[in-house]
Amino acid sequence: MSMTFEALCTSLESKPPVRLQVQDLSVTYSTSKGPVRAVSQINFDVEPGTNFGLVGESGCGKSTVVKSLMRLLPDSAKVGGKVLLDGKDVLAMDRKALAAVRWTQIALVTQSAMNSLDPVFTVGDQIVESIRAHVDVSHAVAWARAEQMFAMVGLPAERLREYPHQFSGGMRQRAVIAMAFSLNAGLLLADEPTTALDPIMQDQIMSRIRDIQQRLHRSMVLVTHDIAVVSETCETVAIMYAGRIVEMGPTRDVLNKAYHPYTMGLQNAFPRIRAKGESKPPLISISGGLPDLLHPPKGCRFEPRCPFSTERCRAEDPELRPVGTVMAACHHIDRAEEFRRAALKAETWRVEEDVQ
Amino acid sequence: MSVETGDTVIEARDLKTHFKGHTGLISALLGGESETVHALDGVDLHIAKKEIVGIVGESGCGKSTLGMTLVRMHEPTSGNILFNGQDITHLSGGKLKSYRGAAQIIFQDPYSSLNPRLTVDQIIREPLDIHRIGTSAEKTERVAEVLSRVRMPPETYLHRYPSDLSGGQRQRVAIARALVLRPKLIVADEPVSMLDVSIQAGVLELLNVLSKELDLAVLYISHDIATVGYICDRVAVMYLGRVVEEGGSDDVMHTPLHPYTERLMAAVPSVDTSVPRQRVELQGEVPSPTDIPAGCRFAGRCPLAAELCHAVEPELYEPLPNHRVRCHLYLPADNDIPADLARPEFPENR
Ligand SMILES: Nc1ncnc2c1ncn2[C@@H]1O[C@H](COP(=O)(O)OP(=O)(O)OP(=O)(O)O)[C@@H](O)[C@H]1O
Ligand SMILES: Nc1ncnc2c1ncn2[C@@H]1O[C@H](COP(=O)(O)OP(=O)(O)O)[C@@H](O)[C@H]1O
Ligand code: SF4
Ligand code: SF4
Ligand SMILES: [Mg+2]
Ligand SMILES: [Mg+2]
Repeated sequence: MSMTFEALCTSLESKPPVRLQVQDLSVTYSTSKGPVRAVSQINFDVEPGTNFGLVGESGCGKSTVVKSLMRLLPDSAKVGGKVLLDGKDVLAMDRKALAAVRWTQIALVTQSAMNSLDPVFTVGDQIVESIRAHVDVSHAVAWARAEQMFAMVGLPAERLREYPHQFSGGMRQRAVIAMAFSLNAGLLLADEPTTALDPIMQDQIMSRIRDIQQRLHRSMVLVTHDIAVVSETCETVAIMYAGRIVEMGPTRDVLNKAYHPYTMGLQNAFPRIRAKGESKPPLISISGGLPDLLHPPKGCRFEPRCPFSTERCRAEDPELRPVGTVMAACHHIDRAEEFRRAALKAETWRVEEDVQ
Repeated sequence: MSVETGDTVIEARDLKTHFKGHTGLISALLGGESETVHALDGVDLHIAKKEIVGIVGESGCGKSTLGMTLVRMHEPTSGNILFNGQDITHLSGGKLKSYRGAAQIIFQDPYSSLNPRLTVDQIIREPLDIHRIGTSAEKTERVAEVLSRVRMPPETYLHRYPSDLSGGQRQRVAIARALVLRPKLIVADEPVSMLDVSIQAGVLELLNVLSKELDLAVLYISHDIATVGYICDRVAVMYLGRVVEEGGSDDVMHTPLHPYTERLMAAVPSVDTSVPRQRVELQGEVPSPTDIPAGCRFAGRCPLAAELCHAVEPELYEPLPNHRVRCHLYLPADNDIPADLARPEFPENR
């Protein structure tokens, strides 16, 4: 006898949250030009029921991290380290164990997820199939669950009967978010889930995701370039640069009192809505770009763009170490106070010969 | 940022651009009737020298159509475009070509908008060749001049190919190319939305400086309301093909008048979480531009909608100096609308 709708909901809602521990994760892509070390020895924990933000510029390795948590990397990628889900290493699982974990324990929404719907099936049938692949319920019960998920993302239930091409991009993205939530996985991986949506939709979806995470005590890894979204959503944030975590800690502390010069630069570059009458602080960009990961610099990876670099920075790669309530990877964290003041000035970041 | 007005460069008067054709694959396959897309449906707008006007609004509301129509890449269906006071709505041939030199557009994608087989020098020089401007030496001089303007030393960049440039540098080259014909109007359609946050700032700041240095009128189209606050003097909010609110960017962002703008502004997340944000859910979907509702276009989603809203489309009223809004909440006392139609009312808590 398969489950009733009520039984399904109860069983899904009583699922425990998941603890994620990432230990010494490294990913190297082999390319025709040589090995690309996209992620180098990163460590972080996501406590059950909390949201963890991953921020950094395009190409710094965020999506590579997220894909390795789901074991979705191409064969050209070599992965090292451990990804522990409630203590069990995802990287060591066989295919059967992996299939049992995906979608029921970890679910993924990516920026381009809206293109992942199959054009020949209705959206409703696709959600129903993904539910029935993992739990023993009738078509009708799974359909009722799909209706519930559609309501959550603000789509009318009757549109479940439509095909993906009848949806706008934003509606497709919402349908995929509904699908990712349908089994109420303990850990949601969200890689720029709302970037393709306009501001109102973005805000509505993020606030729904937050509600569910809180109400059902779920965990989430949220990848975004929007530090405002992180500060509203995540208890903890990690700032990534060129495959490394360069700063990590409670979101409020990292965003208010940064220790790493890159974090300071990112904050200046991020446009904020000003209070009425407040004068416009200059928007300052960080000159230069990410280092070539085929030939990463010997010392600090941020050195070529850092206005505070010294001889030591060129020679030695700084380790991530605790300072105050956070962790930062910079040789000169003891001068952070001075850096923070200097970082607010546009001159500090001006590099003449190489404009961005 | 004070703006000397009276120097209007471009003006749109009740501008409309409608597209004919099948909108969906299904209706095309079924050979259904072709529908008219009212992409731009009656817009009034003006931009002065040294002024940056922002256009914001949901995806599909007609922002890009407005930009493309102003530079005459789309044929307007009705209304007028005035450039330096002259009506250019129906120019053609050589006159249209010279207008297109004076009104340039920059697009979102710095990766596909530059020809990968040409050097930076050739890319920027091309418009001069097309418009047959200057001798070879003069062209060389102009190319170097605009590259310096976008803060890229010519000796370093002239002979590079787009593939050797970062996204921010490519967008600077696109701007240099747009500047080489010495335009008076630049339409920048999401110019930084594909760039990383760490480098967006440089391109925005550049647009800002150039508009003042070169007396440019700039139309800045963007989803990202925070960036609009940084560089725009005025902002126009579009909804379903029309401007529903327009005013100084501080006024529109901090004292939005239209119920739609209010929700749009409330949806912008804030880094500072110590002040809780007043969030309002918006019901319903944006209506289709093929099927424009009678009355206020926002009525189907507006929590304040009253009988009048469904019956009569509001005009742009000006309840505050230089701050206009298309909403019946601001209906002036001397109106000729039948008194028996129930008016919308401000909610209690305002
Ligand atoms: N060439 C065209 N033919 C038919 N319809 C079009 C054409 N160009 C635009 N449209 C339609 O006109 C409306 C307005 O489109 P437009 O591109 O101006 O929107 P937008 O505000 O720039 O949106 P976005 O924020 O997504 O860029 C949309 O419904 C769009 O589908
Ligand atoms: N399939 C792949 N093969 C080779 N290199 C890759 C592949 N996917 C990503 N990379 C490289 O790995 C680095 C990190 O990429 P990614 O994880 O996508 O960054 P992000 O998500 O932060 O933008 C980049 O240098 C990128 O070019
Ligand atoms: S280690 Fe040196 S170069 Fe790296 S961020 Fe710190 S100060 Fe800058
Ligand atoms: S006119 Fe009426 S429906 Fe339209 S925005 Fe104003 S109150 Fe709402
Ligand atoms: Mg990515
Ligand atoms: Mg557009």
